[in-house]
Amino acid sequence: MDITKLKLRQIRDMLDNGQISCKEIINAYIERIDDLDGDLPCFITRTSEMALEQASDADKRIANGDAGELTGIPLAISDNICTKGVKTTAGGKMLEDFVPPYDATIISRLNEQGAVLLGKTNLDEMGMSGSTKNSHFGNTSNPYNSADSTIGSAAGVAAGLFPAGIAADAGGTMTCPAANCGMASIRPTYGRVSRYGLIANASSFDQIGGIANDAHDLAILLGAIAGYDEFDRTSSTKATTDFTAKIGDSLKGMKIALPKEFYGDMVDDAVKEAVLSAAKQYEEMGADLIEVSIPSMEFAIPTYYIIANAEISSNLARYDGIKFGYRGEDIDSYEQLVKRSRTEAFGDEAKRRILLGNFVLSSDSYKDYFEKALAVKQKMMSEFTDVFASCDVILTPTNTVNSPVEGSVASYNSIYCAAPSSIAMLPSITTTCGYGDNGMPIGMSIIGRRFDEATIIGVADQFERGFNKILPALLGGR
Amino acid sequence: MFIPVIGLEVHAELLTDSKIFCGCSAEFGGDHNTRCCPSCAGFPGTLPMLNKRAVEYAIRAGFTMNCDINKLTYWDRKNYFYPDLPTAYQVSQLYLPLCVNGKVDINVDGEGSKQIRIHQIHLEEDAGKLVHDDFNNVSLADYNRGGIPLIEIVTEPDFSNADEVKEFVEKISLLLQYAGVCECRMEQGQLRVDVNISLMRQGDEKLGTRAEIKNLNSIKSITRAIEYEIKRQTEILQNGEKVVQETRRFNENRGTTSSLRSKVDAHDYRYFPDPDIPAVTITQAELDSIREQLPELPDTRLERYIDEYKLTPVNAKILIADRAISDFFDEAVKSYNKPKSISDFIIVELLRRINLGELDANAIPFSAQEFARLVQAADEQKIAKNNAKTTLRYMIETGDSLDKIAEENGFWIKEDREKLVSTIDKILAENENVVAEYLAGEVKVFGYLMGQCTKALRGVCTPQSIKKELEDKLGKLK
Amino acid sequence: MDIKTISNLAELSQLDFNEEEVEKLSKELDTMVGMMGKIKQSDAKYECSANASSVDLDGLRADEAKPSMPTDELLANAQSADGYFVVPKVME
Repeated sequence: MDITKLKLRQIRDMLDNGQISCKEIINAYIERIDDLDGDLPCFITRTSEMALEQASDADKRIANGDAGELTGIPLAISDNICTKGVKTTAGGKMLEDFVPPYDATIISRLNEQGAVLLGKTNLDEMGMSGSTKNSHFGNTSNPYNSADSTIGSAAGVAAGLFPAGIAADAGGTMTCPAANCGMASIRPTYGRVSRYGLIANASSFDQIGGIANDAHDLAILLGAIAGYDEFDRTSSTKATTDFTAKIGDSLKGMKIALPKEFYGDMVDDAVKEAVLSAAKQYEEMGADLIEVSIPSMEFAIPTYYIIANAEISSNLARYDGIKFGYRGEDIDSYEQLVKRSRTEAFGDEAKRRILLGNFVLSSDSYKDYFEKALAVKQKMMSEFTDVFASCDVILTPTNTVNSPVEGSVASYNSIYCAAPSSIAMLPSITTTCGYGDNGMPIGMSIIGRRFDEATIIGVADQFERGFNKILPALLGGR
Repeated sequence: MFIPVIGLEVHAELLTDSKIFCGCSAEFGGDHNTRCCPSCAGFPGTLPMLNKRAVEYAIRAGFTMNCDINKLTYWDRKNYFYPDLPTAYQVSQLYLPLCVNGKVDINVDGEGSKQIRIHQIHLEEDAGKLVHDDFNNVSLADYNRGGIPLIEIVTEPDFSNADEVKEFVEKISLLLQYAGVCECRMEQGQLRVDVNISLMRQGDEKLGTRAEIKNLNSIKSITRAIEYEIKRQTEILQNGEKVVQETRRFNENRGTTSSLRSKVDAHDYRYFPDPDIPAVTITQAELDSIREQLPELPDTRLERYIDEYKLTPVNAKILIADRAISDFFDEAVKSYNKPKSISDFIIVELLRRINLGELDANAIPFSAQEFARLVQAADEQKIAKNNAKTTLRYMIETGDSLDKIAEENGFWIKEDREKLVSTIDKILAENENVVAEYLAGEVKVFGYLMGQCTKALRGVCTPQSIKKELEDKLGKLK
Repeated sequence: MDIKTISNLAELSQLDFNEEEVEKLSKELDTMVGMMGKIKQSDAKYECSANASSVDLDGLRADEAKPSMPTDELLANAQSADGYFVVPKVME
């Protein structure tokens, strides 16, 4: 049995049944990472030594009958989530040597549970996109298609380097690459998971979520990290529920909305076909498909970028070389220090976004761009609320195309399907629903009402049960 | 003829225990960088946690200045780079501040009463401090002060001269002290005033170009700066030149203002709602509760002292000038209902000692009740006036009680009955003629006899005792 | 986007660009601004009182002082001297 093809909950069972020790599991993963990661690579920082110590602790806890859901479970964490004493770079030169003096709240929670950290994974600089084209640490390739740039947390789960990964999503920065890697991922309701310790990108959209092999695993993962945090006042005091509660529930009578804007010419035919065929499957399971419209979709992309860039420009202003981060040399003045540190350490894309963000916030543009984007955000939220008045979940594609995206305009447009759940602060779960011409996986997203992760997990899970996922050869057949 | 048009922006540090967005202590002083955390030092991934008391204090301040309180309020980021600002944005309020449309009445000698309109009062955070090390050509940043909650009081440009500004600053200092939200010690930087001043040609409708004078930290500096600035701008305009819109600093030594920034001050702060801080809603019940907690304000007390207690306006003003003293006075009067006596003793004796630095009005080592007893004892001649002053001094110096001090020092006027009787007998015997006149019906001469007895029996017993005994004896002789 | 605008934005962003970079940026930003500018066609109106999440006064943090971070930890990632963050001389 290849340990590293196991799902998270299978590992849990085996650990609890005493079939295997955590130490064995971790060693198996470390070996596999040693073997394969070089071809991807997923990791910026490996924490194998610490992982083995954590494994040892986990084994003790399990022996004492004191194990929680994630005790002894190996995970990888995206490198924009602060880990105390462990380098956290956010994928950029600016923080390439930054060692946080504190843990993100979700890390504290995972540590309390006794999860095992295998390392910090690669991501685009400051988490701004769903690829690693702009990462200071190089590109991470999709294990099924080396031409596709992806993020470490997604590639790693796909390649069996870890059973689940944690990453932040903003307009699809996690869900899109996860879908391209044939993995399931969940972007929780905005406010469901604490952002404290997540290096800020677009504050209104950032939300920490998970990537795993299927929805059920995600439910377990989410349960471990969700919940109000006093250190993040945008996190919700709404009680967390058992996210596995609706797994196995029949979908008879479930109303699934298909907003027509997601099935128009913004999305490739192959993608639409795959998602619509999934819709048909749902129909056969007893669900009702309902066509709806979300007119604000016309402005989804500019709304997302205007708000995101504005927030990025402000969030990235703290990087000046003084308190932490890259510090320029041979400096004569404060003014020179700030400019040189930022100019030398930020990548081109980060700089563009900062400039654009400052543009939309400038006094001349504020009303026409930023305030207008806030208005569309409000309108879109209200349109979604109207849809949910008569439907339970919404089904959409995850990506707009099924091939690697090239160029800034194409990149810009590629978030069309993923942006709305961020804008409207809704939870969405992604899972593979079909394949493109080249056998590459195509993902669909199921969007739910605020705080209704349990329902979308149940809906995704029902599809997964009946779907025989066949992925291309890993790493070209290695 | 040029009319000065002056508006103020006053910053006041709030008396909270912790900072506005984190739990670091807000206490004054402390070694540099010992009252900081990742949050107030602007570390990546940190988030603000708004301090409830800071909001309540800001509302209290609003009430003292007759403002309307916005029941929905939120915070905006003011973006700019400076080394004392770790996040490169200051959280402030632009779009929907807490308090709006207030007014403060001031009374200027020779002018009478004038109303100053308050445009708004908003809650924001303070920046850290920079120390300049010229020897090493560096600046040193201390973030202890960063994150201290401030209220900014913005007036309309209703002032026409330095005296009005002085009255206003003194008035609001008093109001904020009474509200218990700020101690307003300008020399400690707890209250800072920025002055916006322009000149308007008489008859013109349009305001002139204004200059801003920043960080004036004493009343004297404020008045000197205004007077200089009026002169400076008058000269410029009289020469047919234009006043430059700029920020200026006041030079203490020379009594002049000089330009702080060489370029025109049109810095675009790109204000936008802070996505990390949810808007705050306040109910009417909460506002009512906060208002109820406000003590009686100085103007009302002044009226009461003059109308009810019949104190002179001069003395009444002295008492209300410090809330601690006014509270002390009111408490004392509750115990011993002789406002004039008590106010005299406070003003002549207690305040004198406070001004000498012997004690702090906020830390008087005895109760108002004890003080009232002392005043009463002096009034009733149970202690001689001089000894009463000495008693007060000892009470301050030693913290001992009135009784203990009076006992130990023999200050109590012991009613020596024997001496009283024998002395009166003696005086009556020595003044047979006068006694005869009295018995014959000349009631007036009682005063003479009384005077003789009082002189002889000073310090032995109270005038009341003397009077009674004398009346009795004379009555028996009839 | 003209040179002056880019220059002003660069100043607000505290970023330096050489001539070549500015020219390249001019085209790139033009494209992006054009695409973002599409939003002007929307007739949506912003309601500041209709924000998605608000919290009651009661839900705010209680005013309690907590221990701060030890100075050496705070300064661990910075250039420091004597417990201060060191900043090259401020010109203005």
